[in-house]
Amino acid sequence: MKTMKHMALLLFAALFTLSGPGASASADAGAQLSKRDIDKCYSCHEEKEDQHAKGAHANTNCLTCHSGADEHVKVAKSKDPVKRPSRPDSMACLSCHKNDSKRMNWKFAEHHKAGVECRDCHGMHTPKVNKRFDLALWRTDKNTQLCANCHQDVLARFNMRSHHPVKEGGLSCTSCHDTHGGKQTSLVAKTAQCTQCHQAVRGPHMFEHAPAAEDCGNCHNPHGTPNRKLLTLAEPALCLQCHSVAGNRHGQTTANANGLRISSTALRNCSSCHNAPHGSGIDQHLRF
Amino acid sequence: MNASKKLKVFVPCLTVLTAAIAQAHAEEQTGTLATTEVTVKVIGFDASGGPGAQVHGGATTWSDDRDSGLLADLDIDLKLGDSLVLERKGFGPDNHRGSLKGQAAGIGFNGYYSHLRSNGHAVDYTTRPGSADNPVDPAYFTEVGHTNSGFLSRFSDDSPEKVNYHVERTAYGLAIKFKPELLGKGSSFSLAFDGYSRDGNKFATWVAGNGDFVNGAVPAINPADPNDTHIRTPQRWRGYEKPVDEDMGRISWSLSLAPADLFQLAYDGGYEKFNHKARTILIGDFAGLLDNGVTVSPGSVDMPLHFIPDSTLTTHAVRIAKNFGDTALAAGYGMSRLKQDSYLDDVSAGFDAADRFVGKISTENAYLNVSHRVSPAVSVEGHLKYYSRDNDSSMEADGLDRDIRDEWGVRIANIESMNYGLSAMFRGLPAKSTLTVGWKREDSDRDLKYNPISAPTNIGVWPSVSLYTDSTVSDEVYLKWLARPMPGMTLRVTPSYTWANKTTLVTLPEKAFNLKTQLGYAMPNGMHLNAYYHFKDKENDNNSFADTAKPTNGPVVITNEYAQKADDTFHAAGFSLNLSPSETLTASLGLDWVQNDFDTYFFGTNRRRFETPIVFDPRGVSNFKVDTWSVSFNGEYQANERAKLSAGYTWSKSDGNLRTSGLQATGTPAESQNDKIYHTVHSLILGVDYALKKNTNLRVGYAFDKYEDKTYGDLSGDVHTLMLGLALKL
Repeated sequence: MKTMKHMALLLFAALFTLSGPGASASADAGAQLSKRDIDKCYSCHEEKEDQHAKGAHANTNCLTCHSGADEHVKVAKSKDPVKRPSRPDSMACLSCHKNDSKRMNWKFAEHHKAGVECRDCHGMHTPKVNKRFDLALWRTDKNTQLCANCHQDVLARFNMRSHHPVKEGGLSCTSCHDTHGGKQTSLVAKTAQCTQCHQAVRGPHMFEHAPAAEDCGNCHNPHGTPNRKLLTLAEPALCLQCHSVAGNRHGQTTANANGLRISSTALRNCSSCHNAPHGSGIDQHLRF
Repeated sequence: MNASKKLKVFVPCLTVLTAAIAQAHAEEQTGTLATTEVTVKVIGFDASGGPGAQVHGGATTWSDDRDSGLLADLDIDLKLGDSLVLERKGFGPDNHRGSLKGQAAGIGFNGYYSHLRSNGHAVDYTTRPGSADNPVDPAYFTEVGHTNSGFLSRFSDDSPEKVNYHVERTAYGLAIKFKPELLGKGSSFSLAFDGYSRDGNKFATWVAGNGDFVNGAVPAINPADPNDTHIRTPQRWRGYEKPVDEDMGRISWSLSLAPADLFQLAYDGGYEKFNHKARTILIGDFAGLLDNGVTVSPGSVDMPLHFIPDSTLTTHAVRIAKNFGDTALAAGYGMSRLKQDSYLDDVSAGFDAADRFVGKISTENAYLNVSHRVSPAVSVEGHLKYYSRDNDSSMEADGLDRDIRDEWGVRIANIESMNYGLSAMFRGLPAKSTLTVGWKREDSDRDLKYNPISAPTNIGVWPSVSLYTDSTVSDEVYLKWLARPMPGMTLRVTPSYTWANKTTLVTLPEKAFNLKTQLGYAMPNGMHLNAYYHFKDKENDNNSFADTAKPTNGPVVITNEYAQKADDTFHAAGFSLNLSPSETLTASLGLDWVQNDFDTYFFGTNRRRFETPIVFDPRGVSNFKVDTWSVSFNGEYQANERAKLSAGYTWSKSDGNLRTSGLQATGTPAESQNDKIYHTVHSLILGVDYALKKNTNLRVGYAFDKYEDKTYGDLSGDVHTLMLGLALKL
């Protein structure tokens, strides 16, 4: 392990010393159309003119994003322009939007690896129109509605009894997820994502519950579950996969008995007695 | 007027004012497109039954009436070109939010707030021990002695009977960004403040220790026994109202540079302060609530319950990214320090500041990613990620009255993990597909601290009585196939297989097969189909218990081993179809199914795990198997130029069993009920949008939410909501 750590540090150092000229993807940014040329585009693409006027790219000319547009313009008069200008891929977008620390690792982002392009989420001309029509999302924010287009399996979990308030609009998918990054480029601990809102359970605790200190996902599914408190399994199964039950404290006698059946009063919710499952400042049994 | 109430009044006023100013500003601009829509809403609601249908953002009036009422709210949607966007959405005083963002002269700014009330702790109260659906077991009391578990015969609810348990969370933030137009090419700097406050109350339970309560008349059971605590014991299990009052403020900053356009460099930092302001309840607070002459032991009077420390978190991170033609690199390093700021002696006179436990947690993260395009058809990638967590907390806490250090369980002093892997992507394959083949490994080590036992005691937690182990070494191979076989169609198939020689926890897989598939098809006629199927089979029998003895002054003796086995199977499938059969009609339907099927052994022991000799007894096998179905229908119909109708219905049901055979007694509640998980959710939404004038729309909406629970019947409830809105496009 130590060797690996040293190797990593060496690689970091090597990276810093590499200072060759940076290369970045670029569209035809240098080929600036004049206002008259843009008007040429709009003379055919009238609807895009309206859309552009409303969008964030209102002052961006067509050639900045659509490579091959100049040739397209030349042959457009033929009424059958065979050569269509390309739609910008993510690298073309990043040629302008590169100076944002949130997008600098797009190359290694989960979405990028899954073949998702910027245009799949961002409308180039106007805000993206959602493909999914679902009135149950009437209180959610626009980002969540956009995510729901593809992540139907996750959306289904918000219909479960216990769920984070995403459908209710209290949270957005982007409250937790970095859409332009991924696990490979994350610099936070597994628990840090959750404790940026749930500070009250992060401690530091004198008595930690070790699985909780490692990864909230050991016990919780953040999207939704049929169990209480986002638990991946109902109690007591969740607890008893790791813990044994001491008969002399959960059974009905004071003897060091083992093998007696235990009432569901004790088993139904372990947390009814062990009410500090994330850790305690004072009790080693995590009761309070 | 408390902070929350002030916010409720202030924010709508501020948003209306901002909208008016922005509109006036827009009118002065030439060539700037401004749109403003303000919707004034009146909302009426009527709720009945339990809190199950109102867990998040359930309706209440401005005067806090939860059953029924009438209230007003406001939606604002303002856009001033690209320079200013203001939005507010209001669904009543329990659920509203707003945002403002804009840019000018190389400076971008944004702000937001959101307010949500959660009634989750009302659910906890409804299902408290001793309630109709969760009764206690009097049999615990009638056993002779009953000193150890007799407290389970009775639950004492010390909270006001009709406490309206809820927590209101208000989040807010402001950020300003100085863009390259201002700082020069490739440079930007942002400064942000984020915060929240949480107010309310929650239902908390606790169990007093055997010596926390003293005295009390000792009539019948065994008065000759000086250890007979039967008067005191049934009073030990209690519930109370725990106040919630906390806030968090975080200042973060980010600097991004591209020196001479050679590489991108980013530095992110943050300083976060969390304050727990509510009073900590002490055991002594319950003195007046005990009966039959029982009192709180003088040594326990100052014992705090559910202590939450204030804390400070500082973070720093540096990241760089660089492209060398076909090669891209990204590297980063981050660290955090979490420090405890308030202590037991701050909340209780029973503790000494000189003997504080001071909590400190440090983490370090680093990554290195390299990708290289070998040819237009092939690219390769490697990644390496490092993580460490150090618990630097002080190990001494002499101020604690109990000799708790002798009973400590497993403590993680340090975790160090390395994840690394390689992958190759092949493009231009048949069906316009790409295929990624990859392998990755997780290698983690822990420095686990077990209780240091000093002779001659035989008390302590030994590695042999814990399923926790100090390392995980697992490998995973995977394929990712993405195809676009025809225009508009996307097919993804992602199988993976994981195997591990060592697993720290049984929740980690020793063997796992995972398959994800997804089909998306945007048809030329405007229909859009999405379908998926996920499967995961995970099992682990790597970790084991062992019978352990520790004779006084003797060595630890380990005998029989018992392997735990956890087997978890997961299915999820669904589809959705969006269609527009005509220009005036849009419809969608969706179906989802999720199944969790989990088996594990239940183990009993003859005594607590820090006592020896301890003997394990495999008691049986649990089976948790629950299916959740979800169906939704939605439709929107443009009846004429003025009227648009919409309707949606969502139904969800979770149905399954939690079997604890071998361990659980038949008793209270009935086993058949206790084993069952069965609840349904219905949600119906109807809406009309009618254009009264060119710029004025009347909007009427009706929503009906119903929750039914057959296990915890008192949770069942429903709520009707009627909304009337007038939308004005200014």
